[in-house]
Amino acid sequence: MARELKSKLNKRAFTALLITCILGFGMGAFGLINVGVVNGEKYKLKAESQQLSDTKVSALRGTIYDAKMNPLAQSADAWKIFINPSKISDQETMETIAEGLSAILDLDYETVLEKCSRSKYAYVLIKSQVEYEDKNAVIEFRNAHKGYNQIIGTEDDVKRYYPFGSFASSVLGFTGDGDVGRSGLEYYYDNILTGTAGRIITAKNAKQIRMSSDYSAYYAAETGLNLQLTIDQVIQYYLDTALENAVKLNDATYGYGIVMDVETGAILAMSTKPDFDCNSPYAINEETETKIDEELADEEGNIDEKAKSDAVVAARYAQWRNRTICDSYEPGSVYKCITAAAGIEEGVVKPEEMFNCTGSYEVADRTYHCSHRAGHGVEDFTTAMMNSCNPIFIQVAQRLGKATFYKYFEAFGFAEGTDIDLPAEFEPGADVTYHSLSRLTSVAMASESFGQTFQASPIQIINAINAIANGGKLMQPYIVGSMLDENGNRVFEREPVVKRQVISPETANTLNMMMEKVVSAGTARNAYVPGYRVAGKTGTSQKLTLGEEIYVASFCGFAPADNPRVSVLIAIDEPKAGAFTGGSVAGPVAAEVIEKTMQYLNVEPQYTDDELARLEESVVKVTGVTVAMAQKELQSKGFTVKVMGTGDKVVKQFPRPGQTLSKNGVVVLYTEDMDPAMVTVPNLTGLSVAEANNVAVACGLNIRRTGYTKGDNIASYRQSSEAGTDVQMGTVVTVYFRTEIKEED
Amino acid sequence: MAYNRTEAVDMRRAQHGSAAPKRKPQYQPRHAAPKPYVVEKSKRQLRIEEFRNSRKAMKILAVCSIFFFFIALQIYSQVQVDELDRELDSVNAQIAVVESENTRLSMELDSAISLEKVDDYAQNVLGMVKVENYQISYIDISGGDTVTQSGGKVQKSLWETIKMFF
Repeated sequence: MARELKSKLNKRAFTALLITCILGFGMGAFGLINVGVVNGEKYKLKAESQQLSDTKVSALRGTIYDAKMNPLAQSADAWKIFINPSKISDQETMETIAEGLSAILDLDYETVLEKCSRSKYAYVLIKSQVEYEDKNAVIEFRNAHKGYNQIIGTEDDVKRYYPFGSFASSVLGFTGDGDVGRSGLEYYYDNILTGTAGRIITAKNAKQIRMSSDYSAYYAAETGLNLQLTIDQVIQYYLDTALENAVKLNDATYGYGIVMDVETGAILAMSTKPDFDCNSPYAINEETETKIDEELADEEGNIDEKAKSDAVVAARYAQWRNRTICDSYEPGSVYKCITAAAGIEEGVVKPEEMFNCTGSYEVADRTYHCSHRAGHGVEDFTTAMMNSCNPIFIQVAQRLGKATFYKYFEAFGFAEGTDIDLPAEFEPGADVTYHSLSRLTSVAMASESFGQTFQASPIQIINAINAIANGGKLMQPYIVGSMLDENGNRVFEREPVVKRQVISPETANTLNMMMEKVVSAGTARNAYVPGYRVAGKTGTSQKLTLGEEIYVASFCGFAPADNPRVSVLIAIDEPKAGAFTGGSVAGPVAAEVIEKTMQYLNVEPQYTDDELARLEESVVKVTGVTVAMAQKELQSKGFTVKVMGTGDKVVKQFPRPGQTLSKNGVVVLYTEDMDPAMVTVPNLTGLSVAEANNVAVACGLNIRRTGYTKGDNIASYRQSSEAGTDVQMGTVVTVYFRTEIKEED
Repeated sequence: MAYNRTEAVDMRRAQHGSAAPKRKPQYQPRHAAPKPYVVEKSKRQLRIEEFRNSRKAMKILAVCSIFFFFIALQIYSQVQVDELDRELDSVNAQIAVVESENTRLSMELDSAISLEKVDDYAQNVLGMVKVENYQISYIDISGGDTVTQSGGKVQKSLWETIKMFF
């Protein structure tokens, strides 16, 4: 009986054991299947995150260089400062933190205090792109206060530096959060510049500490490629300076300009003024802000904050805009070069062919007037171009016929974008910005023959004129010449692209000669530069607005005419200081840019006999000789001599030997070792050449005249040293002259 | 208790078919064990054995010591590697900071010597003037370099010598 009982007990025990085993192993197996198969991925990720430390290695953004490898934009590590307001327990802590951070980071105390008061948040950004010294100051401040470690934090960030601030800002653009391109080249080449982030994957021990490098895998970050632009820092500076002065002088809304390499289509300089500082792109200048305030203020001087905010946003977009690429205007008389090129290429007109300008010309029911209402009379085609005579160009267009006229319109690239490597290029729209062939009426063609009733961007216009300069080749303009890796190896080199041959080299040469005459004796005289044969055409186009007459004054040309090196376009948008024609407003700016660029490119000036006769006299060396002898020597050359000191011999002279001065220029002789005599610069603007010279000499100064100084109605419009500044007696002040004849072009 | 199948059958038969008193089954070894042969060890042998035992213990101790030494060495090297890794991380971070500072300072320097500022300083502070065209001398190098080499003495004829004389 006992044995039977024992057997039963054994059986039960065995059964219980079996059930326990089945349940135990079953649950284990279930767990394994669940972890390994059903939710395998989830647990894999959890395990990886627990066992592996994955660190992202940021790829540094590529640098942007100019043509001579001067850095224009470069990135470096920086930091973000953030706070955890949910950990701030009392008002005193809040105030201390706000005070400390606002002082270190140069922020508004109230703003930081408001951020500290957001107690529901665990992360509030105080400032990004903080530099090393400021970050260290924040850490010191944090360490100096107990418990602030839980509140103030830092994290990695990147800062983009633009060493020259507003230099070529509309071309370079800027980057936003995370060093991502937002505008200009930074935006267009963002993928190229950004590179690929790397990773370090390291095993972690039980205490979550990274284990040795034996347990880590490193995937190197690939630094973004560096861009070498075709922009030349020096030429860009010349263009920037000239445009900035022109905008101020003419009280214009905008000024924009392009300098292009004739043979390749490479952009040497591109500028829009006013512009912005790439280091603080969201800041609008004080002048604009004042203007906004004035416009929005009601009678009691109150300003609607919402309206102001909208206006500021609009002003930002306006200042970021690269108007040489994105904007369009009617090219005006500059387009006459294209009409002339088409006419000569097709053989419907010759430069010496005679025309009669009666002052007006009728097409269908429309009467077109010449800028010279009385008419230019009998003139050859070259003279018609020099006079910018509308009726003659209408006749040339009519001889070409609509189809041929339109063929050249398209061939010179006015019906398509230029495909320049910059964002948001103006795209012409058929029957929107220009007349398609099917809708090109005889009236529309007549208007288009002298550059009206269609829109073109500055880059399109200079590209078309450049085709005349380089023998008829329409180029694809470009701004990035090459790309380099982090070791400086050139991984991409741009080859110039010829889009098509639009006119023959012979026609181009003929046009060159005609355009040179436009500058030497035509409507573009203010673009004349002695020694350099400038060829070009001015344009004045009226903007369609209600109420007031506003214009775009432009000049497009190239130099030297016999062997063109650079093409230049200057456009002054809405000049309001009186003069508004291309010749009087844009011409002098072009002359300034061309003269300096030619000097910089070491193009030797070739003076004509007439120009040589106007050249100034060179100062001879008179130090060491007696005062009497020095005076005699200098006076024989026509100079005015001023003697400083009571000595017998000249110990120092100013200007120094070799300097050229205009006739009756001042030479100061020092007979003792003494401080230089100083004089105050007078106002030399609005004067003729002789008047400016006399005023300067009377003050003990010299002038160097530049710009157009031939003929009558010449007046100075700018001087290199501002009136009222103190300079050394004998200093040479450059005075800019232009013709005051207000010819419409 | 180990029973074989045959014995189990016998046991059942004994339970059901006989009233004889039950007997405990007796263990019967298959082979009789030999009688152990005992040899008494001498004192010398005992000493040798004792020495051998102690040497064995020493060996085990030595092996254990070496084992623990290597473990300790391993731990120490691991600590060292960790320490160096931390140092490396720290130096890399410092390099990154220095590089970014270098970039910042380079940019500051570039900014300080921008063309605009140099131009302004040269003209307004130093009183310098821009270079004029007359100050530039242009040299024509389009023809390339030429070298004039003196030739060897040419033997003149008598007639040429007389002509040269006149």
